[in-house]
Amino acid sequence: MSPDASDVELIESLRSGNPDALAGVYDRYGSLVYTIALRILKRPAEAEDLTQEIFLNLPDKEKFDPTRAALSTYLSVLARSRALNRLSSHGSQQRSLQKLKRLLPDRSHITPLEQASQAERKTTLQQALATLPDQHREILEMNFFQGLSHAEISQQLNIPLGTVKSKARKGLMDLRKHLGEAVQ
Amino acid sequence: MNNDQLKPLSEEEEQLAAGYVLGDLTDAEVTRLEELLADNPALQQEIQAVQTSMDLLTQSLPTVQPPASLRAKIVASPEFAPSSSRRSSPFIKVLAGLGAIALLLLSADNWRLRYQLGLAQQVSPDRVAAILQQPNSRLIALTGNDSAAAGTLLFTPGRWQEVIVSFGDLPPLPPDQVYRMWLALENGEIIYCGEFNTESDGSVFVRFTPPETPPEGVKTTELFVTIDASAESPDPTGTRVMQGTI
Repeated sequence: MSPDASDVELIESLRSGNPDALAGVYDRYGSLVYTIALRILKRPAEAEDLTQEIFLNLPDKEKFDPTRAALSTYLSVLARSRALNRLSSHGSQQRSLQKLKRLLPDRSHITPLEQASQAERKTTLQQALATLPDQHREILEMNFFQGLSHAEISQQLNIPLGTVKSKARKGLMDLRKHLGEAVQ
Repeated sequence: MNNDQLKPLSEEEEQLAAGYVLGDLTDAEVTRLEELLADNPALQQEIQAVQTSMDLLTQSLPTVQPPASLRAKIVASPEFAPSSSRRSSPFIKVLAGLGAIALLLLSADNWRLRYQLGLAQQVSPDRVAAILQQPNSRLIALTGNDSAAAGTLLFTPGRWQEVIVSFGDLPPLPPDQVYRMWLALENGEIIYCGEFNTESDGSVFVRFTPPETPPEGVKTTELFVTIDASAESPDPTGTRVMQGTI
């Protein structure tokens, strides 16, 4: 596969059974998936196992339409979702379902930020996050990367539930405003 | 995207869009969101933009390179054989089931159902899949009367023999008390569904196989949860703590 192949070409090639396409997708997004898995699961061996599971199952994802949603977004949403799922299975010995809307967001098009390079996207997102008040960012990250409910965050931070809820919303609203047309 | 002809969003609409994506809307807020969505197409685009902002958060993390050995394992794996004979885990099947439902919901543009389905988690995949595969399966939202408790009940109309409920923020009870769930019918009858208690974090996931089912042709109107003394036989007049309309 050419390293210049588009994501759409890579996915089409993968679906037609070309093993080189898997290497192509991995070379492009392997570190993205591994980074997310490691952040949530903490243990490198588990992060590797999840990364492997995600890439080896990729050809099965016939429903994924790379012209309507960015492959990078799809893989990162999937990695987060699966990692949180593994976390909850440690506690309850029962696999939890993934949040449907996290896996099948209502995508109609790929936004400018998703079309940017990975490095550019990371910088933009880090800058946007840096504008949020510390506690707003902390609450969003606890919810997003640890899968904690607002009630759990309220307990851990020892602040009222209503405050957690309003700060989570405000944090997300500000993040979205800061990203502006890049996510439209 | 051209938003020139769309109304600018109010603070309330922005709040609801954020709450929708965070999954923390109250039942009243879902109702309000539905009203606003009918009136302002820009709100739908806003929800999409907020969702994208949230989804992209994972990509803000500083990159950690995986070990080189992982690439070799994945690329050389004999498991990679895209064909119809590939085994798929029950979990994948559940997701496929959810996907099918999601498509139906998307086409119906039923925001409330989509929202509730998004919140239905921590449930046994096999049983959920079985119910979701029914074309008319439904999700009912229940909310706390005086608390932040909220939850969802999943069932198939006409098949009351098996229901799945998932609640959050419902306080754990002392050992001599228990939560009991009830189904009200249009003829005034009340059917007992089962009892449960919560995990220490206030969450509940249970699958009920109610001992009694509604008589054929009689419509169900409401679900509610009461607190009862665990030693006593079920009594629907106990303190109501949650309810939802069917």
